[in-house]
Amino acid sequence: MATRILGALDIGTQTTTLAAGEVVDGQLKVLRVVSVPTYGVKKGVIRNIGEVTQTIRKAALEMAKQGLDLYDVTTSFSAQGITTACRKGSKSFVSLAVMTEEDAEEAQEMAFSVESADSSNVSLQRFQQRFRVNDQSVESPVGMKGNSLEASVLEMLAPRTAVEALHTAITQAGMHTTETVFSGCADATTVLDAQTRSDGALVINFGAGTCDYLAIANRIVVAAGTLGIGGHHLTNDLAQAFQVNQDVAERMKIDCGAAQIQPDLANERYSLRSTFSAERTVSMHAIQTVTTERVNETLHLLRDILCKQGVYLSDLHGGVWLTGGTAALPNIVDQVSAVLECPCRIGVPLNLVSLPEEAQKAPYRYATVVGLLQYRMRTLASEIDKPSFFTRMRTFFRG
Amino acid sequence: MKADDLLFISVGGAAASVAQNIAQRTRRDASQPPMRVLILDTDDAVLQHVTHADGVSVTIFGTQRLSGRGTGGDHILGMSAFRDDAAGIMQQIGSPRLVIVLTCCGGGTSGACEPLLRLLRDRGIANIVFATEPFAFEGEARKRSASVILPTLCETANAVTTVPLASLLAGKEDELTAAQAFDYAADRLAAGICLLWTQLVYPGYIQFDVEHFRLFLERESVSTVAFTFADTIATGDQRAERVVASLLQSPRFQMRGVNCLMNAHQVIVGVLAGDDLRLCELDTLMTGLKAGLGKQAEVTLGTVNHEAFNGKLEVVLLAFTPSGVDLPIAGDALQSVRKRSGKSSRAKALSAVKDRFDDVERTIIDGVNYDTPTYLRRNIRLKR
Repeated sequence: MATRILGALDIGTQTTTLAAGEVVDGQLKVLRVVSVPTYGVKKGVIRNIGEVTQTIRKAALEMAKQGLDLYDVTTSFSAQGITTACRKGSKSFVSLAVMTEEDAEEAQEMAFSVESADSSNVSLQRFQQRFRVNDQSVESPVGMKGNSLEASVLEMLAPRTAVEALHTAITQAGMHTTETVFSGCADATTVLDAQTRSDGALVINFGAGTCDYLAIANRIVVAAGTLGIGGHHLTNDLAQAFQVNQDVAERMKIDCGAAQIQPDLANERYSLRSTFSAERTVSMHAIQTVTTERVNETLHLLRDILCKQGVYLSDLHGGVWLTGGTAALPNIVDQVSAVLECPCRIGVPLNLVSLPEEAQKAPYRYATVVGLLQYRMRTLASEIDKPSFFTRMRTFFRG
Repeated sequence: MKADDLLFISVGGAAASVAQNIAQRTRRDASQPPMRVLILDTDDAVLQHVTHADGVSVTIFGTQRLSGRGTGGDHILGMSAFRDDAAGIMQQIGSPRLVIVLTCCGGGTSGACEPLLRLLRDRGIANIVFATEPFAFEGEARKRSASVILPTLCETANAVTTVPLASLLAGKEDELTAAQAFDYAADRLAAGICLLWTQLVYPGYIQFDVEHFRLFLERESVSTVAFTFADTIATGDQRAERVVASLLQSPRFQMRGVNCLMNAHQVIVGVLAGDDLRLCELDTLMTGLKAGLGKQAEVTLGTVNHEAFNGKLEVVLLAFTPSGVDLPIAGDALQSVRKRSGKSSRAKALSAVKDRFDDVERTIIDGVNYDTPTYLRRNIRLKR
């Protein structure tokens, strides 16, 4: 029997990554990873569908050159404007009853069926929360006695136009979207192991356009969202501070930006080479002040947002895991640890058979796309274990 | 003053009705050219109700994108629609010395203000924006939209004066129905802007013309303002004393329990009188009014001398109050943005670097525009 090839597409603000993988002995083997520069996306939002379509086609062509034609892809979504809402569904019993799995499912279904009144948003993902039996919070209600059962769901809502633009671009590029997953969720899927999920952890994808976060406590997603601030803000700050264009500022950020001022470099100067004008130098201290301030502010903002959502980082014993391109910034791990007062590590994909060589140099950049493959793998596995309604109907009619 | 020196631009449907009101008011006096008014909107249906008159131009923009159906409250659409037709609109604007822009924040078309103000700034045209904040009963969505747009205006305009619509109803809240409230607020706002216009265009003993107003706008503290105004008229004996008493007690200067006059940083006192205005009356006026102002207030006096005011003394008080005192939407964060924007508008005009986030929705959280570089917002001096 031919092996099923899984496809994943991560359209980031700076880079679009297409990956192909297969399942080997219940684990993911990433076969190929292709990255191309993205055009037409800002802060995660598609501004020009045509340019994004071209970007995807280019990535698909590169993949085809390596002998893999992908049609079905699981895609990530991250954009400014993502919000969350808590939905509740409940079931009451006339007399004291022992809760069954069906009761739990029924309450959950009711929570899932609550729809947003705002038609400008579309449901991106739903995360099951803890149940409440007679107003007591429990992980699973099965076997418990009570009169009332309440299920809660954390729903992520995304701007409808942005999601539709993503699907249109993928369709126009000749591909088909099987699932759309919040990129923070994809990162968490691959970066966190079972123990860390149980201990509680925060995953931050500090990308070019956005900063996605997802907090897990006791294996349950307790907060998730997106900040419209990313690595491009660091670049833009440098461009404005030193009156240079965005390309020069990007180079400046890569060469000497940092999340904490590096005392050994503070007295040195960075040379802005130009073909047509005299050489200009800029203080490294000034460059690092600009980048440090931005990173510092973003982390404080994130901490405040999580605090407002009732997430206290001291309760997340698994620590903070950092992924995305901005994770490459020197000293960022120390700065995250200092601001969030929680140990921080760079998140790399786990539970893999292998990762292609090109992705091994900076695996944190590929966490989202690998996470998408693993997410798809789990979805397919759960469909086999517990077929969906349509699969069951198909099986029934086929006999 | 030349007729082309001053231009009033309204952006959006709600602002269009105020613009029309202003056009009618400024046409009443044949001795002065009426204020040049440009009404901009994206909704064809709204503009069909506007009466075309001398000096009033009406332009629907973004028709290719929106087919004249409006933005549906999406301010990004408003911004994009303006960019589609920016060249044509700038041609209509021409080269005035000063532009007064009015927009009613909360709607989508007001998104067009930011690119408009950028173009004005690039051309060196001084501008002041009157941005109204929606009534509380208009709902959270409009309030949220206003909170997104206001900081962007503060960054691009020479001066932004926020006018909570509720503040224009002072003393009338219990009498008016919801529908009347809009009309009344629009009428009061038009009256206020016309009073400013009167000060700028009529010659007087003490000059306060467009050039003076340009300088006034470029002072640092002017950008940190909420705009309140009141006017009163008196005749007969002790008219100056009565005018002072009436203005200082005006409910218009009481916003949410805060005395705007005591907190005002810039105050324009406009005196409209005939040839019978006596020096001692001016002295009484200024001494009396200064007693009701805080120590920080910088007072600018302008007089209008016109035969229509013979026997009468009309005084207009325009107060610009720091935003932190009374602005409910953006709070301290917005104030800091405004403070910076006021002084640095000229400095920013020198900036040759394109902002990466010019054409994308701003990241605004709790009234702070996070697209503005952090070191700028925090006033961090770089050791270059």
